[in-house]
Amino acid sequence: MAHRAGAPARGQHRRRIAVSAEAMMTPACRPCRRRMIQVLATAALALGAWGFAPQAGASDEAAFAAAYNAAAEARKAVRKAGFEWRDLRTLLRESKKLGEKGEYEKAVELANQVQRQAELGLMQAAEQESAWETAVLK
Amino acid sequence: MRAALIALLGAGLVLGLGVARGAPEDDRKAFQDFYTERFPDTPFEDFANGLYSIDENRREEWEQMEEFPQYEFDIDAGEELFHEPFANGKGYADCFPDYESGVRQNYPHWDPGRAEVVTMELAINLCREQHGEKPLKYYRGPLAQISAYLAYLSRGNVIDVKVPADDPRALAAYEEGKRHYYSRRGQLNFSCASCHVDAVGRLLRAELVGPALGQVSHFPVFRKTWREITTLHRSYAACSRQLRAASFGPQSREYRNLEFFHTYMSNGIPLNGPGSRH
Ligand code: HEC
Repeated sequence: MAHRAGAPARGQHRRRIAVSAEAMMTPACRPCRRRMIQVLATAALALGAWGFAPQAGASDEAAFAAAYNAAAEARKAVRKAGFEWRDLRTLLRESKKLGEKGEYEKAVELANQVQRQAELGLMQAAEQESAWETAVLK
Repeated sequence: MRAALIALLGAGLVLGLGVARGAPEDDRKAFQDFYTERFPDTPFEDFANGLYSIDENRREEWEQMEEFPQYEFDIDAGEELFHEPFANGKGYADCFPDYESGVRQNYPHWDPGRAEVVTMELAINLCREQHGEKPLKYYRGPLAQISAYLAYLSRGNVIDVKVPADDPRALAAYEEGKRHYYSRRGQLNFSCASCHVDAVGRLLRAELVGPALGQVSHFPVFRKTWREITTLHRSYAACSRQLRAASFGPQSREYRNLEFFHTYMSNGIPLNGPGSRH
């Protein structure tokens, strides 16, 4: 199954790097000093790249693209199983529209909703694989 | 040796399934018994009137509607369309030579050549295509009108859908329709049976749920709320969406197989289409 959508938002990236760097700086972690330098260098590079990024934030756009693609894949899978729920199509279309307008946060939220409902539909399909027979009039 | 083993396994599986799922005739009997026991005051043939076979007040209202039915215009329009020749000089009558005595009771049927279920509406479009005409849209309009005309000529004929026993593909299509009918779908986690079997005769948000027996006999239907003549698959789609599932397309394999099962369950009920509905 497609991986869960939603790469971390900007702030989260920075925080995670900071935390791991801090942990490496304790005296107990001398052997990982080289690793620390690597991490810091990567962070610096990332920050540098940030400065050149367009206003909206390339990582937001990427996060949206990942969330949207994962949602579209999940929808395809549940359609194939014949258990798509009613609103997936509209929600996905809405998500795309918002993404094109640069409203990434809302767009990702809708894409995640699509993914969740698609997964529930797939669970329903798996359950009904045998459950339907218990309902048959006999 | 290996092939023989696989064949044996396959045969066992088919036998096993056959026993577990019961033959269409057993299904039909159980289905019809359920409704005749649930509504002992409704004569069997009267289930053709759907919802109105089980509710006095709504029936009176409906009988008034049927005095000046709005579908009459559609029957007339359908008659005209039916007799309009195609560009090649042929017409629908070449595809449906017995139309005058009614053909609708034979639909849907299993078509072994096409290896699929053919409904009345699909047959109309196949006829067009065979004679080089573009297919018509399925939910409403000219196709629904032609279907209404053919339904009208078939009034009183008894539904007689067959699942040929000598073709396992036909049984598979029937099984798929049956499975669709009883499978829970959508955000509400309802099946067709959740409402039309389990909740039959009960109010659901001010709507009375009608029996599935006889539900197909009066199509196409002029629905007051939709203000037009509409085909069966539009009702399927509306109910799919009501349980918050995505609908399948009109004349999709899913809905044709559903119709195959659904109509088989009403074998023995006289046709009385087109009908008026709220
Ligand atoms: C949430 C309850 C509910 C579910 C689930 C449901 N229906 Fe319905 N259905 C109704 C109600 C209410 C009506 C309108 C009253 C009536 O005719 O029964 C209706 C009407 C219909 C009609 C039109 C009947 C007529 O005489 O015009 C058909 C056909 C139908 N349903 C088929 C289905 C099928 C097939 C399914 C499964 C895909 C299904 N329904 C699922 C509630 C439901």
